[in-house]
Amino acid sequence: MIDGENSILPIVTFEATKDWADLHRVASPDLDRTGLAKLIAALSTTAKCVAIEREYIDKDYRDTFSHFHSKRFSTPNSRCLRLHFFDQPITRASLKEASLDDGKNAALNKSYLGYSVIRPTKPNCIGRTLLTPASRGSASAYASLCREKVSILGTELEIAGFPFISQDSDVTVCAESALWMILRYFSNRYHLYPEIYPFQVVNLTRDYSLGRLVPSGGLYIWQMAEALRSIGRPPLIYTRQVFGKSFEHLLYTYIESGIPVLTGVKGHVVVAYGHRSSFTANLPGSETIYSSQFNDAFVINDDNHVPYQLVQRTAGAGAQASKYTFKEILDFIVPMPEKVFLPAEDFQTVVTAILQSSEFGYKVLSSSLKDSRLVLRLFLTTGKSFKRCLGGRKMGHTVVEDMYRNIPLPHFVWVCEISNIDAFGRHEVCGEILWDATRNAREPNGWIALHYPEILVVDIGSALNKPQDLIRFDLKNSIPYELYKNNLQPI
Amino acid sequence: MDNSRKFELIPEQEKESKSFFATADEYDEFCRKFVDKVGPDLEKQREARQQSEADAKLRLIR
Repeated sequence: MIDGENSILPIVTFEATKDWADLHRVASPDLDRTGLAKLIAALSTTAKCVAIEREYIDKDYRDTFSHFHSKRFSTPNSRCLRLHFFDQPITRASLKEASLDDGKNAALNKSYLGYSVIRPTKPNCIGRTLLTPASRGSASAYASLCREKVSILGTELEIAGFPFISQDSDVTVCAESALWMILRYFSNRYHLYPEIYPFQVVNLTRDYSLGRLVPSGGLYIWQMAEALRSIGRPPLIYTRQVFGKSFEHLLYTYIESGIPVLTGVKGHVVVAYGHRSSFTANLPGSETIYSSQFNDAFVINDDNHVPYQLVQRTAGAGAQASKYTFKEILDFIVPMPEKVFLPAEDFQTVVTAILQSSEFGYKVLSSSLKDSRLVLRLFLTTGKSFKRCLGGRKMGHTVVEDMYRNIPLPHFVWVCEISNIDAFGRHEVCGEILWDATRNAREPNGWIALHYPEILVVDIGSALNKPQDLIRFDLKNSIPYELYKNNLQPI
Repeated sequence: MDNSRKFELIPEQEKESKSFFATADEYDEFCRKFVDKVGPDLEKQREARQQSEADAKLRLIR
């Protein structure tokens, strides 16, 4: 059913699967069959209604139109369509009411699944897109998400998701599209980073390129890394061939830290920004387990497909399954925060040395953990976020919570959460080691605190910008507490 | 401002604490052993990152 087919905002209500044909008819010629198939793949299980915003001026398409498409003899339209999806039927009246009544706005916002811009570009018409992960149904996963405000006929709605765009095959191919997705995530999430449009993404590599920039012939991995560096995210590059068995663990660790990662497969790149774990995985042996070993899928945006695909450890079925598996990931680029000098693998080395040391090791200082099979979870977070979560988590003991609350922390800290199989299965931990992310790994005094159920050791020296001064508190009646969940959101 | 002043980070609790190492020599010994232990792995990892960067110059994505 179509309401206001000739209006500036026709609304198509899906009463049956065939009604997607109505959307195709109203949104033609910009929405081609390939684009429609992608939208159906992404939204057919949840979308019940779509509002088609005509004559939409899209900032990203207008950028490439001005710098490239407008210079062609046969010039495409400078305007786009923007499709707004809802999981309930809506009307023009309900949109208007939602602009006047907060309660109605909240109800309408609850049914809003996000938007997709349809560009007049061939062969890929799907432009800037931000859909809620719920639009694809539950993935039982965790992912980095950002928020945007959207205005429809003056009614303001908000959507959380991970930005998506498909390549236009002229100005952008997959390399620039993947860069755009990461850069838009950063600018949406953090005020520190400017909004960057597709042609600007192309220009980020102009000082590191030979020959012409457009039409794009693709980018080398190092050029993508330089593009990230130029916007204030110093990159680290990891290849499977060099890092071997640590490769997937390190990829997981950065994603667990809330850092979206450019992930290369043969001739192609996707953005990985979430993961899914299976805690029923049987991990035989007695050695320490890393939480990455429970990981069975990465959440990705592949510009050739739809948002929120799952790259699984082994090939799997399902609407969300990517055609790639873990072993096809060849390399990845991590856009590190500026104030993180310690990479994940170096943090793991130093924290392992502490856990095994004769002075601070868990077998020496923790009677409750010494016979356990440890589960370690490594991640990076900001000192500010870590402190914000203290009240809810309680940290197992008042002294620990109070000390972490009071002690000055660096902008970023590496955290190694310490748990055992039973507690980790309940999403609980027994202690942690905090490490200053601005330290050199060779400094033996880079750690801020070590916490086992029986003891808290804190460096009150570096906290006050003085030489390391380690003090200990003996703890009684500690209890397990909730693991840190602030970096990623459940999807 | 007096930079030598010692702050109490949690005033009610800090009197319950004690220094972890009894002597400066014990602390120095810990630091020496730590550096010796982590050094070889850190060196391997630095070389691995450099090799990854070198490989990245040859991988075209399109």
